[in-house]
Amino acid sequence: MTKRIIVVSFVIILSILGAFFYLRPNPSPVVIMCDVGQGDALLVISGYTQLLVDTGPNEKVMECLSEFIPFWDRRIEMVLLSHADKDHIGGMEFVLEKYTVETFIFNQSHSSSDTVKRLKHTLLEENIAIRNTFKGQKISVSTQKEDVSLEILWPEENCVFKASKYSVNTETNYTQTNLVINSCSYDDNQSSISGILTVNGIQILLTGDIDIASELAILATNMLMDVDIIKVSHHGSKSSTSGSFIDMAKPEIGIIGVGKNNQFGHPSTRVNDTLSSRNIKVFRTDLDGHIKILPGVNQIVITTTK
Amino acid sequence: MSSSKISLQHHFSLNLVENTIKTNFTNISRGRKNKRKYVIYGIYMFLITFIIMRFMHLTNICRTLYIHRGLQVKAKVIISPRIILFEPNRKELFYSDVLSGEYIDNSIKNDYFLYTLGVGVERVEYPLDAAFYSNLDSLSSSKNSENRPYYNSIKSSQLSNNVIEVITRSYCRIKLNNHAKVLYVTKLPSALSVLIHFYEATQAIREKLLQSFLYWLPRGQSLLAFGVLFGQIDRFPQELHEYFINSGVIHVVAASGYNVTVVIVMIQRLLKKFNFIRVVFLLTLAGIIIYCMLAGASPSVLRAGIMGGLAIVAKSMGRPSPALVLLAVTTLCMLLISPLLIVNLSFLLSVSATVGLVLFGPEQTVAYKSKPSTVLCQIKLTLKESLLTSLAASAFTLPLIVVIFKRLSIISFISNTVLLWCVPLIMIVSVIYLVAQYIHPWIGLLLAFPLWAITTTFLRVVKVFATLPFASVEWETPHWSIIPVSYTCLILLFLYKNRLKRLKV
Repeated sequence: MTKRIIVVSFVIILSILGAFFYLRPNPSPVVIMCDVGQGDALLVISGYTQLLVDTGPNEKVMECLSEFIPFWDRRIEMVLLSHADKDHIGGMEFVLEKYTVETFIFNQSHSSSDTVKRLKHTLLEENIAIRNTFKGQKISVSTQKEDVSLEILWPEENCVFKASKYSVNTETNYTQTNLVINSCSYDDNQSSISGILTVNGIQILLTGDIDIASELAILATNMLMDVDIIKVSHHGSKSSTSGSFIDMAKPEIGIIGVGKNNQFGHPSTRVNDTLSSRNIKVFRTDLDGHIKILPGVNQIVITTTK
Repeated sequence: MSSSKISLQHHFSLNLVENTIKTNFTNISRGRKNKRKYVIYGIYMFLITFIIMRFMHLTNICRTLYIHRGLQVKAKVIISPRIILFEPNRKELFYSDVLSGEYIDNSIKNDYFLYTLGVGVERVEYPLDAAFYSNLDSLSSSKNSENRPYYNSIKSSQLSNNVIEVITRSYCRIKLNNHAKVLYVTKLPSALSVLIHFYEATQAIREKLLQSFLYWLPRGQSLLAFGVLFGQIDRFPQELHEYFINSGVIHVVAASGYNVTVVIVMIQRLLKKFNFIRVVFLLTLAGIIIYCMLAGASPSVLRAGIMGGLAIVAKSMGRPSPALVLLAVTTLCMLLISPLLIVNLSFLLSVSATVGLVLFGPEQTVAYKSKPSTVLCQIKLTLKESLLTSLAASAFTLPLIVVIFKRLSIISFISNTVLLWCVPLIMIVSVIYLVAQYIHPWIGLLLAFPLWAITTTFLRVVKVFATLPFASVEWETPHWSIIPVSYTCLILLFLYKNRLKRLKV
């Protein structure tokens, strides 16, 4: 009997050691563009700290998360949802099912689509505090090496409806503040949270689903600087990614989150031409699977799963 | 035809059951030579079989309605269907309660649209989301465009011809004619609704068990562990699913006779010292039924469950129960009750694999052999067992698979030999993990590590086998005559094998 106990505990300890070794985090931070079909999900990992930007349309995001996050870590330090479209927030309820989210950044939407209602329902249920964000804010993710930070470029402050929690009164608050929101005249896509994510000294431009009008507005703020990687806006839709915006950002690599044979025809040929004419290397989740970016000091290593 | 329907009957036949039952039940009929009692026992057996069959048939109907989605789909609606959610991409039906008005199925992956049926007349309500329209378009094979405005109506001919017919207030027939598959649903008598609630409860338990795997483990790993215990093919990620098919081990995650055997043996062992034989007998029967429900009551599980139940009944009456006869009776009964099973691929594969195992399978299982002296010897024996089992099961399923899927998995013998012995190991660790997780998640975490190690290794090996070149070969035009010819050959081989044995003796 004692022999059996010894053997069992030995096996358990061995498997724990093996798992910790096998799933040890990368010494330098990693950025992963998850393949979630038609939608965006970007995961930044530094040590045991994770930042998730958008969650894709459905539970497919969980495959990506469980592949790159060790299974005993049930906490995501920060989740940022750029805007309230299904292909960006649809996976949130599945994320919240398994993971505890420490900081949740989301500018509330006045749209009343099913997806938003559903998200609202989940947030109410889980009682999660919401933080708003707007132009000029700097968000630093509390990693061990302090090597991940985010500078917000968009949207403007007066266009953001501020509330720290979804509550029963939220609906009435909406109607009160609708005037302000409408004066901005931005729809959900146009007011996506955009910003520059700095990981280990490498700049990644996150664009959400902004269209050309918002891009021009960002250009007018003169806050946009040279970046290394761009997450191509709106999955490469023809209404986004103007040439002047790309010329200003000067990225070398473009990443696009699209689904195979999607019904919208993303990414459009115009965007493809815009990117290829400027010698930007493009990675697409439908062709490359998960896109894993390892930002180094002198080089960026990109590995894909397909 | 969906390839997910493959579910081979694997591992051992009912030998294990017979061995266990022999020790426990032989004394029932000792000393009873009265003919009249045999007749009473015969009626008894017939009644039990009938009840089981009726019950199983019912759950089978429910299953087609549940469409493997578990909790969120309400069974009440089966009795009076109001809303049908139709998911065009996967060509499946979903039901919901019209009154609750909540979101019905959290796990619907693709878009869906919503029909509301009025009483007696079909009425179509507006679909939920703009994205549904494009899917509707793709159904009627017309081109779709971006940002399509609201439709005001859906062609009702689409409904009446293809999907739903409401006949009267209480009687609703739903006909789904996709890929020449027809489902009939009738209103169930209210007395039977108790059974449906029972089924609902088992489905809730099933979902809870899956959730407790998912609490710690990644999706692929938990689905493997859960699938080994209760059978789960549908929720696998597409990629992983293909790996399993290509390497020929998909039957591992389909509940089958092996699982039922394990259930019977476990109950028998637990109640070994219990003296009331008839109570043990009834408990075992109840265990089989509960397991079948938990495993989703698919045709292959039902077949195994009924076979196991019949074996126990026969043994309790002291009658011989050769596995081949049991299989024949079970198959015939099931076909009599629902003849459409004859075109059910999973049922066909299950039956043919069992025939193979009964005719050519290894005679005894590792569990009952005297322990081999050395570790090396034991490994050799285990591998031999795995190989024999997979060979026997494949012999009868291969012709079917080749003709239907036009694909031949060459690697399957090797992958099965290497991997099959892991299955009991995963089973044991998963059960212990479930118990630990029930006590406290942190104790569960302790056991999640070994479970993770085994399942991850398993999945890795499956992936390696699946991605080998020539793992599976496509065969474009296999002739249908392969099936009768190969079966004749196999039966001749079996007869010849017996003659050989006789000569030796």
